[in-house]
Amino acid sequence: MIGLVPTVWAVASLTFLALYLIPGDPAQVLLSESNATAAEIAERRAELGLDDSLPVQYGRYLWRLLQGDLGESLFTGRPVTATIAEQFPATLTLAIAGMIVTVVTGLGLGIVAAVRRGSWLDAAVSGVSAVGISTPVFWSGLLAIWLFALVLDWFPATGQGGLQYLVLPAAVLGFSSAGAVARVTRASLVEVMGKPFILVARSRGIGPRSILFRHVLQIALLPAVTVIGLQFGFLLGGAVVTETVFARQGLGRLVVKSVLRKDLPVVAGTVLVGVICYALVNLLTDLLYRALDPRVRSHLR
Amino acid sequence: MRAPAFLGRLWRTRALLWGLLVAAIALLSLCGPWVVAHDPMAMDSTSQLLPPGRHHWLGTDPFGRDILSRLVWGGRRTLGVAGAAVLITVGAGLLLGLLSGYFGGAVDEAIMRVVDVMLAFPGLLLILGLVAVLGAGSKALAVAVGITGVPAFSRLVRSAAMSAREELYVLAALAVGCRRRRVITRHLLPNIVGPVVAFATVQFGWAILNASATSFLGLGESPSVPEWGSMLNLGRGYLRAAPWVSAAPGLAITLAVLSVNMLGDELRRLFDPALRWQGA
Repeated sequence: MIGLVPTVWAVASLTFLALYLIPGDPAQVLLSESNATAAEIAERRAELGLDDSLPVQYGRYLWRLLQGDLGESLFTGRPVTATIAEQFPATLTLAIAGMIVTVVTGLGLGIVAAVRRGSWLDAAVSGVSAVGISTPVFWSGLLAIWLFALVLDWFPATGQGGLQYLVLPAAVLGFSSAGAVARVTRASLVEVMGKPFILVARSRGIGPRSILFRHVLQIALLPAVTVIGLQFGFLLGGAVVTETVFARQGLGRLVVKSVLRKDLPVVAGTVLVGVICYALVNLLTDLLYRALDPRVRSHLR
Repeated sequence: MRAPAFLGRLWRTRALLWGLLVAAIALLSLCGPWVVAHDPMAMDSTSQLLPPGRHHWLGTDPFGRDILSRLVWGGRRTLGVAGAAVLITVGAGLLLGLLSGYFGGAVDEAIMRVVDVMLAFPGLLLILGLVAVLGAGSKALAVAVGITGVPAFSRLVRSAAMSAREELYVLAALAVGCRRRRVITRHLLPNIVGPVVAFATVQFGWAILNASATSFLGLGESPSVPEWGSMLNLGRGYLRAAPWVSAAPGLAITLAVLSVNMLGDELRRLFDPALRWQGA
């Protein structure tokens, strides 16, 4: 895991390069609809600072980025930061709700499968995980809308508002990552349960429940924590699709709309925000790992 | 490994079963276009949204187009994009991973730094960003999906190459004065083929998912061109009246990805039981 700041800096530089090297130039795109003259385009270019050399533009880009300025939308002319800030809460809510579903169902299924290893439950969990991993969210989302909104009429199909609008998208998004988490959790539990110290605990007459909760889970959940952090990247991508399926506002809809319009500053800004969120979550899971691991903890003492 | 023993294990691990399913899906998409009765693009205002029946086995879509024909043609395009993407991933990943794993030191450091930065992007967001830069269409999509797969793949090749590098036969080859190119291509490469094939298979499933997601979002070919993702998107508006419009491509995606993933899992176990990895 490389540090947060270098990661963001490297990604920002990469996006800058991509924006800089792209054929069509923003000033032209901006004015193409208004039949601007060559002089007007040149003026706008100077205004945007596009005539400066690469290092100058790069320096300015980084300086503005430090101040939270991601440029302006080519399409609406509004600051990218403001546009993103507007859409961010909706996506954050969806991502957190999805993450909760992932953690609860992923860990739950994984633990159940490991404890009942070899039973029909274990087989069912691994079957469900395999199908879940192979089903894209836009397909499971449509199935969920069909069943729970159209046939059973339990939840609204699309849109946003109260909690009832969040249930289906969060469940669909969460389940999409749960399969991977369940697999790792199960594998890790099975491995730890075969360790000598568990045998010792059993021979001392400690009950199975107590062994599971006091000895196995503490260590076995560590790989799951790492995978949950990595799955967050997958979840962010899934959120983009989920928002489209359920016609919800958010960063996902914004980025798709902007890719279609070739509104590159908005695309770059949104992707950068996604990278920062992903890096933050991985930093958090890293810290959590350290806090949970008894081996690392004992070193700190 | 002796051939009969290998075949026996192939059979026992069900790799053959999933492999046949994958082959069947690939064959259907490849040859299907010559078999299906209807033109996938032909619109017919008299046969809109027909349920599955004798004339149209899987029904018709809102434009009166035959869904089975579109499914088969769409499979050709979606699987084709995913296949091209995997070729890009494998090619670039092998090159970077082998260089990194064989040379180590500064080369390794430089390549792995780039890989780390690329891994900092959530997968689909990187694909969308690349599509924004490269433009829409199948070719751009294949390149975007292919590039996005490179970092994870080169990491895998690197670790496989690093452990193979320490093997006696590689050291022996170096000791008798083999050229570096020969050591890499004749000694390192053949010994990491197993994990590479297994991972490429899993990568293919991942590529199908992401290529169809991007197409679902409207960033693939124009909607008239059949693709599994965009077919599902079309069915979105007719869930109540005509669920078969989205059911057909949806089931096709799940079946294709599931069989590819299961094949990948089995291959992984078959080639190297000791090799551990985590799919992220």
